[in-house]
Amino acid sequence: MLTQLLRSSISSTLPIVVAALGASFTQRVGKLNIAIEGTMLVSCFVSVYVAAGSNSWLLGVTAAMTSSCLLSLFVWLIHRYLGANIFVTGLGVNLVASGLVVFLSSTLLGSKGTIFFEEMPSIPVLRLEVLEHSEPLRTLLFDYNVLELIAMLVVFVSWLITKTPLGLRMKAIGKNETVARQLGLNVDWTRIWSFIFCGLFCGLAGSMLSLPLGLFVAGMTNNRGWLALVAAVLGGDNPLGVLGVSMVLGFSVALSNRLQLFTTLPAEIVLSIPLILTLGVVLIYSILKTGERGRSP
Amino acid sequence: MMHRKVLSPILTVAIAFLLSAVILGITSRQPRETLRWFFLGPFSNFYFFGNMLAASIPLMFTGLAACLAFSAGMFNLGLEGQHYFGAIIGTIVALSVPTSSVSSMFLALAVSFLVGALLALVPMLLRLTLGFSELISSFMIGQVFIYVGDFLLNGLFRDPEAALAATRHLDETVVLAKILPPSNLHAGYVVAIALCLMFTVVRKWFVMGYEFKMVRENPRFAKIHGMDVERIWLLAMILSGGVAALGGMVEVLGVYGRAVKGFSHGNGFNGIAVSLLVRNNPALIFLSALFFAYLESGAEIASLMVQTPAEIVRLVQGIVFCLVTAEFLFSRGERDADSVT
Repeated sequence: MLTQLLRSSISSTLPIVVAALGASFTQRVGKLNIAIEGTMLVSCFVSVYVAAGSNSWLLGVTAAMTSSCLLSLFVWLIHRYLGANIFVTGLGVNLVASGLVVFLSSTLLGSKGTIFFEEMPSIPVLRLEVLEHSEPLRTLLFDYNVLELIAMLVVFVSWLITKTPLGLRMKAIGKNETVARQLGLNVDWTRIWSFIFCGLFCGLAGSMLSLPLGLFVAGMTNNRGWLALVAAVLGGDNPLGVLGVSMVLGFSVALSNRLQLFTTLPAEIVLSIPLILTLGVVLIYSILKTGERGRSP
Repeated sequence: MMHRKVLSPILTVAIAFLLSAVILGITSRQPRETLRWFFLGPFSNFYFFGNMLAASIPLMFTGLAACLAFSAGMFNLGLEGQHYFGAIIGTIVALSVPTSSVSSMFLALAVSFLVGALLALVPMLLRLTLGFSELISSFMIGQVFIYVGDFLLNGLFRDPEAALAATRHLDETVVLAKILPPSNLHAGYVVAIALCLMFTVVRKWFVMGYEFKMVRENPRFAKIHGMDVERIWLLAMILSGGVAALGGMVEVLGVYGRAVKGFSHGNGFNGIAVSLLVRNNPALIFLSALFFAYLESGAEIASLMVQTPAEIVRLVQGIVFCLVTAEFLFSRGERDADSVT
């Protein structure tokens, strides 16, 4: 039971951490992209739709990543070249996304509710026939599907990126844009890169939610994008910090899923558990932080 | 300078209309009929027209609520939760207290105001004491209380005889007077406009308005000059949350006569765009609220008459959101990318 819970928390952590790392790139350059909830939702839809149509999960993921990249760049372009407020534009994209997926699913597939895709390509799952004597270890360590493996790789890669010149430039621009500009850094391009990363990561996170299930519902992301934002804000510059916060949030999502399955708690309460736990995390974290360094303005 | 300020929102509206026309035209089987109902439907008779005006009432409240927060340089993304949950609690209190009609109406309004204010106060306190962005915490707290509201409507306070998740009906003497029957237009319209005008006056000629402006433009400067910045932020958020909830309560009193699950359907969120569309000018909020209500009723009528998906309206509203703070026609050096106001 406990190992199962741990295993499912790992599975719920991965989409959150991937999206959070995407958001943290934009946070690092000082332009937090709050459209990731909507971006993830769109990629949820695109990935299953394309995967079912082309019978290839890889194409589905690619399409999802492309579409979410475009959305992410759209936020950036509207902000940069039309001077729109980035938070308001982000909210707008979230709104567009929630309308768009319902609109698309009703015009393309003729239904607004839950859509099951009958002929989904199966996603490769890593199975190893070792450790047969230890059931708990096996549940914990194996049977990850390929998307989850990619996600784990992505965590590592984004840690690497922060060590590259590009990553350091992002950080410099976030700390002080004017100085970075005066030192001759290409501020615009660096920011475009961070939004591209954000889009790619959110695309992957979105497809991780829908592809393994082979279905789509309009409320599929269920505030995971906002949880990821919290992880990105609390984790700050450090990808490992983001990972740590995401793990706590992933655990709370897994816990609420379990409660939904095994208890008779009303659905509304169960749905709000991740949010409440997240707020708790925020509280504890902020108290610890202010205790360390005194009051921050 | 001036003509740009006027032209930019008009361009936003024009682009939103154009895009919605294109989307409707492409996807609909009878594009001409659809477009006709979408654009002219709200004006085709008094019933639809009155309903459109009625639909703008909650938007005026939430627009004013957003404007209050923006006026002090704050973001309140919990409007939806405050609007919804405040109204539910207000309704429940009004139902459970056996008093005369008028006083129970005022009781409901007062309770909803308090609840909304409280929901907005918490994220602001988090920001002031712990430094956590009110942007995210207000959204999350709002979202939690939408679930809690749903829970109350589905469980404890559900009318067992109702087919949908809703409370019992309020007494008929409690509800607000209708203005243009049989449409939904009710006395709340006047109240909303009065509140907007009141805030316009306060903003322009009262000390409080000046304080809001100072804190918005430069909180550090305001602080150095001895202003109690924290108090002003708290006040702005309390008023913002309270007005948002008041809007929900007025909607319940004026249109539904009871709290129904999901009655707010995005009014809280749209308040932000309503306020931004007129550059947070409270005197003009009624116009942008009307624009949003027009889109909504147009989509509703079109979906009634020619079966287009009503979600189209969320798409169009989202597009307005994306462009609402954009400055078309501005030369690139002139703007400050991060100022909302």
